[in-house]
Amino acid sequence: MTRDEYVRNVGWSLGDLPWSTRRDLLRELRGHLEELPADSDLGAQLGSPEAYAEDLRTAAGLERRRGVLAFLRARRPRNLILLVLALTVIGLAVGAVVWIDSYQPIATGNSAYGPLGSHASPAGDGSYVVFRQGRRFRYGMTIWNTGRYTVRVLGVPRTFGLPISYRLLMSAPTTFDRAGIPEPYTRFRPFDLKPGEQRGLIFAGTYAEPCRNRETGSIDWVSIPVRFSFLWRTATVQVPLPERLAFVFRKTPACRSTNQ
Amino acid sequence: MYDAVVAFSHVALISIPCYCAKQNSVEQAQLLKGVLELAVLSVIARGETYGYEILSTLEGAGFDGVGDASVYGTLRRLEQAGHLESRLAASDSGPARKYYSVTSSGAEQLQAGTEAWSRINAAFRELVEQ
Repeated sequence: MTRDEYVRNVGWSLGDLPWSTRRDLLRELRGHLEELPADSDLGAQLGSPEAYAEDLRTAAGLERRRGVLAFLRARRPRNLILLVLALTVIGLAVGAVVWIDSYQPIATGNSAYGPLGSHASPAGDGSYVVFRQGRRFRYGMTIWNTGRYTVRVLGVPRTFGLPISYRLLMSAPTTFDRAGIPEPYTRFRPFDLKPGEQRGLIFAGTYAEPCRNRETGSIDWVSIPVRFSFLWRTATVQVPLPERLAFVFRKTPACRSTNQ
Repeated sequence: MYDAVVAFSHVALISIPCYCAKQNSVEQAQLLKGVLELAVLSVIARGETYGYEILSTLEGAGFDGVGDASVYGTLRRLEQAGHLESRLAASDSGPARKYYSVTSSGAEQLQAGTEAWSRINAAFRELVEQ
């Protein structure tokens, strides 16, 4: 067994002692070993490292320590600081990832206009419009960045089954303290929505419902799915309409002709 | 003040430790441990010294039944109790040496311990010689 191995094994057996105490004891042991002849058989002269450590502990009156505090005190302060720093960095990184993954600042803005011919619903829970195949349709509302960071609005997925055929337009940017959806309206392109900024999304097109044997009834439109990105994350958020819009269906000629 | 110096006058200051097998019985080692603290104090009371030299002196005086770890552990306990003070000094060979010296409380401890030990020794001799 080399001197280094002997010192290391003694240190291992004293692993519960405070680091500074262990350092002092091992420093003196190392000095002692240096005084011995180079070809010394350490095991034969000093006993096993475990026995040496036990004798040292007994003679020095150092009790065996247990518990979290003892474990922490037994660590080298530099290593403990590095560990705490590493854990802090990891914690902050995890917290940042969780926060970024949950960051969603897009909300309904302060302005909207409904399609021509829309009426307040009798129940007072929104408005409705009678579906007329092929007739012109236009609906606009603003979305607002309520957060502290800019997000990029990527678009509106065409998956929500509205009975309209439309092109998505966007307005000029505005702020929440200004009402209205300012023109000019241009074809939608992904844009950055800054904190406090709002911008209008305009659905311009015609009523269009493929015939699926719908005689009467209605479709409720309550929210717009807005796709956005923030840093590395891309997500879709349902932005509620300022008020529910119902498409009310009567018998449509197209359906009748198909069914007949 | 340094009666212990007289008590341990047969101790050779410079001696080569015998690292051959330590053949003292367990009982003898236990007896030696009882007086080890006083022995260590008395060696250091002669003048500032370091661990290996203390060990050599003790072994030369017949304390070779006491393990090296016990001596170093005793040094630490005495230092923690304030009976010894130490300083690190560069060594010609190897790492820095830790030199010990006796503090005033250590000197008092040595004197009191030596007197107590002498009384016990005298009482024991009287008991055995009866």
